[in-house]
Amino acid sequence: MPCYKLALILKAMWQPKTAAALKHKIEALMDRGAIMRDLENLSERALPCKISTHNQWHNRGEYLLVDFYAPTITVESMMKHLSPNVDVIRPNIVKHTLTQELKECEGTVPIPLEKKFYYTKKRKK
Amino acid sequence: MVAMVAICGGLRRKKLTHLVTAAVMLWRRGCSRYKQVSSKEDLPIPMENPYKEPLKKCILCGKLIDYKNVQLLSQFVPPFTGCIYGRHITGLCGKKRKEITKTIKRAQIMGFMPVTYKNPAYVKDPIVCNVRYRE
Repeated sequence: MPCYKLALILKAMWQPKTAAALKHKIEALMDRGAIMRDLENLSERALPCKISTHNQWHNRGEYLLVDFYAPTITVESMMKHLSPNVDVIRPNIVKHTLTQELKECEGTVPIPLEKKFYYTKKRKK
Repeated sequence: MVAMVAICGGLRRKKLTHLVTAAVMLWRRGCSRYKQVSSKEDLPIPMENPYKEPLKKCILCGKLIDYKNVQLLSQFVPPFTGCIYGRHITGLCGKKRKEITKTIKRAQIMGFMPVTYKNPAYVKDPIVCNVRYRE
């Protein structure tokens, strides 16, 4: 099963409320056949801009990162479940970065002079 | 020699010049001044350039770029506009520039990085690109 990461921005609420909301989301994930891997909390902080969702303006938000293994079908159904949720400001599921291999970068390949001065592609006439 | 002259008198000018050049070539081959080199020991051996320098690396070569690392991404964005600096300013190679652009867009859409301006906390960061700001 591929590894995904859920970057969740929750509404700024009292701590027990946030905990309950998070628990609800994770239970929903596990119901769809996901296996939790890691949970990170990047504290509650000011959002980069005012975001409006569900007829409300938000200035502050709780940033959470959830790593999980899940079948590919889960992603769509999870997004459908999270978007109408009032507590959630912005849900995003992405492929996990550590699973992608870091390609070896040899260096800046010098562009030959011909390519710089002559237009090689065929122009449509 | 006389016979040759008689023959040349009968022919036309073009054919005459051809005959003359052929005669000169034969005469030259006969001379010992021009020698054919038979052995190839002195010729240079074909090989890769031994003084080749390793390719120059851009500042982000071999480093992992993450959408959460907003400070790194903000270094390639001007403080008052949302645009991303071009290759002639940043000095990055093609691959890394594309990666940075995609990661910046990702961070902006996901709500980690502001779009229209640079995060004021990261304005005082060391300048990595080839820009000069007004003081």
